[in-house]
Amino acid sequence: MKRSWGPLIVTLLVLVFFYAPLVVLVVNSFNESRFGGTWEGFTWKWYEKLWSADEVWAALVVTLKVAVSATLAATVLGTLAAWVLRSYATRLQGAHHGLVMLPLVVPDLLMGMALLALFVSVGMETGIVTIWIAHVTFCISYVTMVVLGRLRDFDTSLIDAARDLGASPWRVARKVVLPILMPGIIAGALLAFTLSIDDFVITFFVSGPGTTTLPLRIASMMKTSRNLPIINALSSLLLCITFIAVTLSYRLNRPASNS
Amino acid sequence: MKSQAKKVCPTEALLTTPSLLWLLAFFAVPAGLVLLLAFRPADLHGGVGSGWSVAAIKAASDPAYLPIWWRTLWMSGVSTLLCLLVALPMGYHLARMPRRWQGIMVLLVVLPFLTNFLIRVFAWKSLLHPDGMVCRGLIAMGLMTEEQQLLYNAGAVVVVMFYVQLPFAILPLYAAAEKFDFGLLDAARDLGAGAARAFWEVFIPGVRGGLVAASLMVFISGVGQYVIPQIVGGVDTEMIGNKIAQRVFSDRNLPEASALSSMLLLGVLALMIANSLRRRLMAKEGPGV
Amino acid sequence: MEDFLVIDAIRKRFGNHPALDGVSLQIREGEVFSLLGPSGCGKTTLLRLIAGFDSPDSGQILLQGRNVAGLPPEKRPVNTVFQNYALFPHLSIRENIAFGPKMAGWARSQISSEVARMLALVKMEDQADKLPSQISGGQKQRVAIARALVNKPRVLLLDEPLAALDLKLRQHLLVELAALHREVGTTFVYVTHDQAEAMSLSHRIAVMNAGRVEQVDVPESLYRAPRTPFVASFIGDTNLLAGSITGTSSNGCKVTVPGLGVLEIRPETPITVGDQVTLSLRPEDLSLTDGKDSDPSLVGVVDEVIYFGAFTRYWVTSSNQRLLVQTHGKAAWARGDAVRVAVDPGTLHIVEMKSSVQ
Repeated sequence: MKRSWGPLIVTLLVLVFFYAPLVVLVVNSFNESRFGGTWEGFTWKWYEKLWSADEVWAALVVTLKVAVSATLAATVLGTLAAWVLRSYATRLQGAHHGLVMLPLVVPDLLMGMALLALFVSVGMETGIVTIWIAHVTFCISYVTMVVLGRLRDFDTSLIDAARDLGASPWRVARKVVLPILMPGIIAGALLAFTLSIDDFVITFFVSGPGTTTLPLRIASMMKTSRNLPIINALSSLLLCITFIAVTLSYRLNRPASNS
Repeated sequence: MKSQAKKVCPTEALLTTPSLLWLLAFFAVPAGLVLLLAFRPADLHGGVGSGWSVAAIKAASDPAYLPIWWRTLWMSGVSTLLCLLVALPMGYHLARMPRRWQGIMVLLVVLPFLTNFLIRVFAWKSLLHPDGMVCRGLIAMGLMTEEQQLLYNAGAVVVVMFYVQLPFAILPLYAAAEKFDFGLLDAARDLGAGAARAFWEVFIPGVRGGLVAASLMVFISGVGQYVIPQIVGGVDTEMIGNKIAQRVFSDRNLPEASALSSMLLLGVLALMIANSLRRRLMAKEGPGV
Repeated sequence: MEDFLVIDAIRKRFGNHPALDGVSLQIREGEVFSLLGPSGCGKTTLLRLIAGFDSPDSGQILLQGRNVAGLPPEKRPVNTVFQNYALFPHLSIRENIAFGPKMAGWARSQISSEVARMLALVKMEDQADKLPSQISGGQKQRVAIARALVNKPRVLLLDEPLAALDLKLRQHLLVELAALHREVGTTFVYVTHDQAEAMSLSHRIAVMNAGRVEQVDVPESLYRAPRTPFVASFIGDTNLLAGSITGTSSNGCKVTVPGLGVLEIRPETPITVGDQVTLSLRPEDLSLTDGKDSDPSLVGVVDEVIYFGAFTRYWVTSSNQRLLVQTHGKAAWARGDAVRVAVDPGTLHIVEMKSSVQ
């Protein structure tokens, strides 16, 4: 059949549209010029300045602490949630499913506002713990979604087979279910980790005076134009990390039949 | 192994408890608290006073907010339309690509979505900045004068919103298009429809579910936006999200922020309930989304 | 050994739908016993109850006299070959077969020798270290059987093990399966919807329909002497005709069938004049003769002829009935020919009876 060119052109334009701003940003991180309107020569100096910007590295430490611990908790909770959602068809799971999926749709602003309302109401001081709670909350939904996707291809007769061959429910979980789901769980965890590192809006609502994550630091740096090229350099590094994480997760979560 | 029983067995209850309890405590209850705080008086130290009051609701109903609500709706609406306009042909194209390529394309669409949100907005700010590439280029081509601005207006906000939200539109439309039976398009062509006509009368109804999902995702994320107008917008492009943030962080008036948030939250929930009712109705009428 | 595996008055409902409605069976040690029926007849449900994946609402499952209905699947001395094989995708062929022995806590040396023996039995020694995704459908099926048999089950349950394969391979594996059974001698309970598969492999077959057992018999009897209209039409092709008992004869009774005239039959159950009956006539038990000089009420018209090579099939319309007739060799009659349908006496079977006496 004759193919129309319209959709192809749109697709190519969208890819250019998606990546052009990011490419310009990376290029400008090596640009002598402060605003990057014109190329004034190659330089490493913004990376050098970034290297000596201690407040950035302090923020990175906070971000990593939150991201690692929130990812761990959300991965356990989300995997469990996906498993029960797949295994049972009760009314309870209907409500459970709704509760898991809502955070994916409700705007970050409202989620931040709601968590702030909670912490103010119970008199909890905002800080690294409240940030951790917030991150676990939104990460659960993403982990559940990814693992559920993996579970859709999961052949439940494997569980019957394992029990038929003498495995107790606990051993079925350890020897059959977990190994098969592991790529999906890792992909979910990587997604949660990326989202936790990136989150600005919700974190902004629930952070305390002493705890600044990397996105919060970037936001405050953006207010002074002196810092703009340093943000370019930092952004380029973060882009690299995200690209690596996402590519890794993609390779892991490819359907097993491809192997 | 979907259990047919409607009764909850102990194992199910035990395994459901952790995630259910967490989401109740840190998602459902807090959302309810926002509604509750709207009826509390503000205290002077940025906290919440005791007793009940409708002052916050009254303040949030001030007609001065009306233009801001209106702007929030139309800017979200325009960016939703733009997203659909682009995502439809792109979803179609992705679904018709060879399998191998589809995965890579989805990855390419997801990547910007997973890139730090602030960085993406920042990248656009640098691009549109008077000293940035786009301005310099347009001035050099004589399409723009030094006095004109690309930043700090509604256009900049809508473009960046479109940029940020486009993946949310492409993914559900691609998912719907992937399930679409493209043989139907050949059938339509065989029966005398032109390419455009077949696309419009067969493909679009075929991906209606994805179209609705995409519109909802994009529109809802639009009305809850506040960082984009704050960074690339000006005073006359503020959205309701900016007002909520201002009430929280500048005025430290939590009840009024809660009142505004409640209105937004109820609006979002109403949209989602309407959508789930629609889906239930469709499911009753027969197969299809 | 009639009581090796006894299914006793099993009932099972799913919601409002009775999947099994009082099923009783006796399966003998060492036989290949098939559960045959259309999809939804309850055969797979029954298999899952025997394996222990579901529990019956009422009734007993006795294995060598012991009720196993309350035991979880891992505690039952039966193993299953699943329809889609359910091979663990993350384990090699060897590890798949070793799974059951490992769970049972066998000694390492015993596991490796038994697994090797099984690999040899199903001729998969060369593929032992491949993953399930790297072998063919027929090979998967053999691995699934080895994985079940290595545990030395008292009963091997096979759930449509050939359904996922193409016709040629199916016929080949059917022969292999029969040979395998001769070699190991384990009791096989074989679920299938394919009557040819069941007929060729089984010692006995239970034909199931709508949650009930219609008839349990050896293949030959199911074909030659079906006891219900369902069995008659499910096993092979047949003509189901209504008739009435109109008299008695020296060694049976006379039954009048519109379009065929008066036929003689030896009923197995007592019967009286005036009873209404349904008869089953296999197409190959009918033959055609020239209808020119016959009683016009017994003459039919050939309205379709299909040549199959070894035989020819005719559809003959007479007296508002349409009869399927099968003869050897090439077509002797053409469309439009007036013919008379003759019945080979002694092949008639009553499959349903309505007594005129209340």
